[in-house]
Amino acid sequence: MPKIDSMKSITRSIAQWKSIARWGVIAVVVLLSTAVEASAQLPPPPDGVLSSAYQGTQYSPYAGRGFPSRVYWGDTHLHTGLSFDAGAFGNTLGLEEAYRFARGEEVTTSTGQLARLSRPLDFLVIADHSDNMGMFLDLVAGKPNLMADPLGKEMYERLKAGDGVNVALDLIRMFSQGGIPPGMTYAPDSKPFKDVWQRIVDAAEAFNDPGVFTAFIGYEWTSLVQGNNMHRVVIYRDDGDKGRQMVPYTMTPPLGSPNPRDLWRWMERYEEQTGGDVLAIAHNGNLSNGIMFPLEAQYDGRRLDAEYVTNRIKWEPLYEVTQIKGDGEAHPLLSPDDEFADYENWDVGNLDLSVAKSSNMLAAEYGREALKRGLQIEAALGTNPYKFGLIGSTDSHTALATAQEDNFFGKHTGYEPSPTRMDHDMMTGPAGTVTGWMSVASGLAAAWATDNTRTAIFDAMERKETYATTGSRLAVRFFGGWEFTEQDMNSRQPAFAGYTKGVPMGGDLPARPSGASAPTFMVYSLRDAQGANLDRIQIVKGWLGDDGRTYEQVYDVAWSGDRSIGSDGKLPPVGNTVDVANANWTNTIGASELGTVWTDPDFDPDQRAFYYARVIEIPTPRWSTYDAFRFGIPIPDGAPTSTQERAYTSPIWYNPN
Amino acid sequence: MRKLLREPLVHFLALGAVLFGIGILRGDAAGPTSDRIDITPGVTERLLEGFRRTWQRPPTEDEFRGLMEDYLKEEVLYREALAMGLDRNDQIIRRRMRQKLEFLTADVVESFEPTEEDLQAHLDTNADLYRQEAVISFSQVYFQERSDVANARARALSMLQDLKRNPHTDPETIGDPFMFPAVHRDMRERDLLGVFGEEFASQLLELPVGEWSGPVTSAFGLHVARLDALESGRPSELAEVHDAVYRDLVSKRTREADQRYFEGLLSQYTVTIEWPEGMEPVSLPGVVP
Repeated sequence: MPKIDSMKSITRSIAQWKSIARWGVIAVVVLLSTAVEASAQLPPPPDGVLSSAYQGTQYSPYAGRGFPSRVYWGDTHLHTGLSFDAGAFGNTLGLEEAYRFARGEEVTTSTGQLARLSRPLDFLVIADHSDNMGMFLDLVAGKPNLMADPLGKEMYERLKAGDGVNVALDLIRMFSQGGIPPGMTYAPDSKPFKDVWQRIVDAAEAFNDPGVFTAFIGYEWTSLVQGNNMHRVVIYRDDGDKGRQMVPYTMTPPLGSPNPRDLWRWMERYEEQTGGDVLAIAHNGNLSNGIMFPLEAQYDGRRLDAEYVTNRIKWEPLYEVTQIKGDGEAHPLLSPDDEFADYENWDVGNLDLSVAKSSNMLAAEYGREALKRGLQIEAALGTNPYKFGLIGSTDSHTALATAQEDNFFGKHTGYEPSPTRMDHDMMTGPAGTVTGWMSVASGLAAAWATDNTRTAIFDAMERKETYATTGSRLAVRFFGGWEFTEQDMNSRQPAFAGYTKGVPMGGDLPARPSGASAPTFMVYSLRDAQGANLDRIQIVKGWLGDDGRTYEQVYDVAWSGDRSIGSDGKLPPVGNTVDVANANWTNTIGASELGTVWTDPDFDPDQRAFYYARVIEIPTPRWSTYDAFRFGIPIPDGAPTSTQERAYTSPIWYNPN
Repeated sequence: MRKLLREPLVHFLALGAVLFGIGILRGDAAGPTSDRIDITPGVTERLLEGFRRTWQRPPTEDEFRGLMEDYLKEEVLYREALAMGLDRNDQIIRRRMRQKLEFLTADVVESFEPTEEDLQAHLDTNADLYRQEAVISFSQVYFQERSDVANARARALSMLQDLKRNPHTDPETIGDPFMFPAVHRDMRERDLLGVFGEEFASQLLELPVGEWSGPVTSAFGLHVARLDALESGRPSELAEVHDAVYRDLVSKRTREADQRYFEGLLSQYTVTIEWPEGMEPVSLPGVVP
């Protein structure tokens, strides 16, 4: 008999976690002025009618084409109380609540607050930690096998005495350092572990509603080496009949391993044994202390080889580039010329802050740099291991997938809305401290898919037709080809030209036609219907130089208003309408949509390159500014008052061969 | 699936486990035979102190009410545990609880199995929760307002006249460039809201069917629109939402039974609370002030 519900009540009662602050959380988004004076880069068609641009033979231009015409929104990385750390921190919400919340229903949080999303999500991956799945439940229940271990007994006594928070922190610390005693480790072949996995699959089956809401089967493989984070979320394309056949992979030997090569072997075995289909998404390279994207050798000293690079890209088509524990697209030390690189980075240390960050670690931690490294490795080994697309997700441990600044429920239960959450020391270790306000209200996964089903969205992930946002739901299209023209951008539906003359985000540029001097990119974006206007669209290019080194350049390609690029090569800021005291802003600056066709002015046909689009919104209040306003408290020192939400598309690659 | 849905029934396990945990924890309460619960200022202050130690701050009023409710619940369940003699020895407690709870669980699962009539009744009472969403087919032609709002309106109105004269014009070929298609078939209400926003959706649903109208405003600009077909939202038949109703009803009954069990126990006690000096009393459910 599964014991999750007993865990709930006991945890609550023992740790006295039941704070019942019921300030109603407002999921209502302030209606904003839509008066927009700014002029954008999209010129209006001269006569308003472009009948010649339409090439379709069917009345519905999408019929028979198989193009995705809609973007679906989801979170691929959510924890419930089943994760041992989330449970220990006081999360009493389970799978059912997590799904209900994501579907748009109102739920009561672990701290007794009412919460609801402004809009439902289209898909969700509940990714509880596979290691010690079910252990915490049994610890709370005082199971004899755990009581037989001296540490288990001691922790049980401390739980009973109301010391739950510290027990949780100790468990995480021990887990990070590989110090959980064998007597307390729950291996995948144990009964409680299997029971929990069955529950997870059962719940996904119950809530999966093809066409309306997709509930993926999934879990998190929590690889840690001395506190250095190499976590991956594993997602199944399959239904429960396959998902139930094997239990998840863990990182704890002998049945598990912290080495990604062993995870890939497990994935291979799963597919062979069940005929199923799985992929993995790594996250938080920023907490890996230099081991997430190795250039030459893995964390254990083993050199990258053909097996590593082919498997990595075979199993890991996406990277989770932005989430609560930091935005990982770029870092100012790696991209000193990019004035938007300094954005919600976490660069204090590794996951448990046992070892401080040094600047030489950064190159193996950030998404853009990994994309660049991938070109280098491809030149050396023939395969690009880091040819990944991008998504964002929350990694929330509250069972609540919240990423919007005005509706943010924090990293774990101790950081649900309260007047003190911003000032708490969230994590402390020899490397330093992360304070509550540093949490990032981010991110979301956007998928251009043909339907809202497990297969359609999974397939969009595999072909990388996805993008990340830091919480807003802005729509972005990005196509690459050799002959896009302004006319394509002006056609009624630029996507037709996009798919017929080029490739969408995540693809490879087609072979260069003779006579084509440089690739062209069509990019356009429409703001979140309930959100802020757009500041600009940028194209980020990375390439491998003839000298074997990598380079990057950020191009402003479309922007709002009457601005021009200055002598320093920079576009002036869009302005800022944020009223900090009242946590408000207006859409009186920026543009509701932007788009252009851009040709790479610095193209060298002999150099490997990638291109991705970054769309930046006008400034809006950061979650900490909403907290200050709603609780009537000061904004903590160091917390930015406003933020510029953004989207990162999957790249399009160019290969000279 | 049903197996999963029944699992909330293990709430009873939770209660049992609380008996176990609390019986050991509380050494300061009155004996098992007493039916009086007296909460002294000392108790209240200790609760406050415990909260402060954990959170480094005093509780809010709601949190404090939660602490008090929790204490009360613990106290009641603790005494029941004592009355049952569950406090003698860990092994005995564990076995006894298990027997008791297995008994309870088995019993409860049977009585919670809803009949079709129960499901129908639950559906009728909560028809709104299970409504079949409206399904909308429509066409829209977009006009961006960025460069010139007045001009956009003029262009939209002129296009509207054209469309009325030539209703067979293909809407995918006209208007300004736009992110989403012109023609949408069988779109669910939530998707309409998600893609086009509430402003557009609410106006669209009011348009006459089969007739080009507008301009309709959205967060993005202006649209000339035609509602092609509207299948209004409607209450569901049980067969359409059977699994969801079943899941929700079992879950609801479990929560209610959980609560009833506790309230039944609580009602056997007289509770008096002597508030610490200077503290505003808070009301607790099931406790007469």
